[in-house]
Amino acid sequence: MENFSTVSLTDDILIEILTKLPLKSLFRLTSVSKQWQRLISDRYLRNKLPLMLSGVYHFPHNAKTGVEKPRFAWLSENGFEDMSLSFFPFNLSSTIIDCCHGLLLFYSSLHGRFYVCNPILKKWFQLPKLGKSNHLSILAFDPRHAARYRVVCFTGWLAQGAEIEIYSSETGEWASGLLHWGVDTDRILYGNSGINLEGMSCQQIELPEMVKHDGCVGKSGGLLHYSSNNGKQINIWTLNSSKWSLKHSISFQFTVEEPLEMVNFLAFHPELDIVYLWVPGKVISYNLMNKRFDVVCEFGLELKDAYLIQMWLHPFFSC
Amino acid sequence: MVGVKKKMVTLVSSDGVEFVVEKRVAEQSLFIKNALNEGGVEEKVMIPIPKVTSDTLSSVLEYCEKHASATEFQENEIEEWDKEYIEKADLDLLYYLLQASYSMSIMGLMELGAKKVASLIRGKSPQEIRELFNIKNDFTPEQEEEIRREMQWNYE
Repeated sequence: MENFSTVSLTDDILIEILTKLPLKSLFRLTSVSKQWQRLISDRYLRNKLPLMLSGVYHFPHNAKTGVEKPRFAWLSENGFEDMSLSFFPFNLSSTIIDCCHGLLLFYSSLHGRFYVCNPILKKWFQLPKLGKSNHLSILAFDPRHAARYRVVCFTGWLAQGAEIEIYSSETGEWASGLLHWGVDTDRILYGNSGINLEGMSCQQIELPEMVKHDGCVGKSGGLLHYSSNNGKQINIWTLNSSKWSLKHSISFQFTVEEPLEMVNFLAFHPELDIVYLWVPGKVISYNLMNKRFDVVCEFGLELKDAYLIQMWLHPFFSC
Repeated sequence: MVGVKKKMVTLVSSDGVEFVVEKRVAEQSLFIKNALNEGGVEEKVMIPIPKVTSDTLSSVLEYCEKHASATEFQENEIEEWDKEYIEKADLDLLYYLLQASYSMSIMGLMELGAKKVASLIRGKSPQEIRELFNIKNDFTPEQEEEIRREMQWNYE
């Protein structure tokens, strides 16, 4: 076999080459050598790669097959690619209870166990048993900041706060905590609150408008954004020094080809002024600055009726 | 162009061979462009290109010449030319072209070369890639096993 007879490739050149590879094959190349492993897990390389688009979706109730379990898919060179969850042995006996930036949180009531799955890498992990009853569980993960994830379980409601247990993938352990939100708990359940997991502090943020049809909170360009869908238009709000301001309204009467009856908000681009929307049969991006629509991905007939539960744009990660 | 004297520069490869080329060709390299700007306007400019041998430099300049007059061609003609140009490079030249385009800051050539190497990597197993690049597997068998377990890959 013909080969490079010369000295090894430098990091800079190798990075240029690796960024030209399909993301899926990149994951497998960590075993080539220590240099490759180091570069592939390097933040610098990750920042040079395009963001990945992945999501959880399901098919509507089907008379033949009954209610189907949610599925995971990501956008690769081959289009929207369904990733089988069969590598995860508890797939059938557990339920997806949360998902975040490409990671899935499963709970098996049979075993009383939480599992975190990375469907792109086909990796799964069983969390240590949580010896308490659990009312609500959240998976917190942002690969742009750190390769670790947290699972937050609300184990008890207090008059003006909650008892929580936090699992951190760094320590591999659950840790107890208390949250105080300063108002009555039943009010908070209908509002929106941000929890700072580092400082165990909790901030309440009043939403700029009531959730009518659909609402979504996300971060873009370092600022908190809120999208509210009232069935006729989508309002995009941004929070700047504790004040919401209306940044943009997207009317459903916009013309991609024809006015649309149904539009669902999917995600904010983490850096740019671009939002992602789901219209029947396709994912489209909308640029808030120049008001341009682009089709990101069109689905074949078999996916036409699928309903996307959540979608993210996230960098390549390997945890 | 009759009567207009073209501005020329002389590039010197690492093995001492001189290449006299038009300034606009040499300026496809940002490294040279910056060097020319810093040096002010001189009649006869000599620019040493360290670490790039005459064989490689002559191939690099072939690319620069074509791309300096890119506006005279259709976009797909340039694409076609690029494709042929990189196809005919053997692996050693490809490697030197990557190094040269990196040190000389010729982004287009860097992209072209990196894409070509990436296409050689696609679909190969880690072992085949090691053979291709002459990379020593510096993992211990235990480390390798650990990665394998962690990744649970599916060799298709």
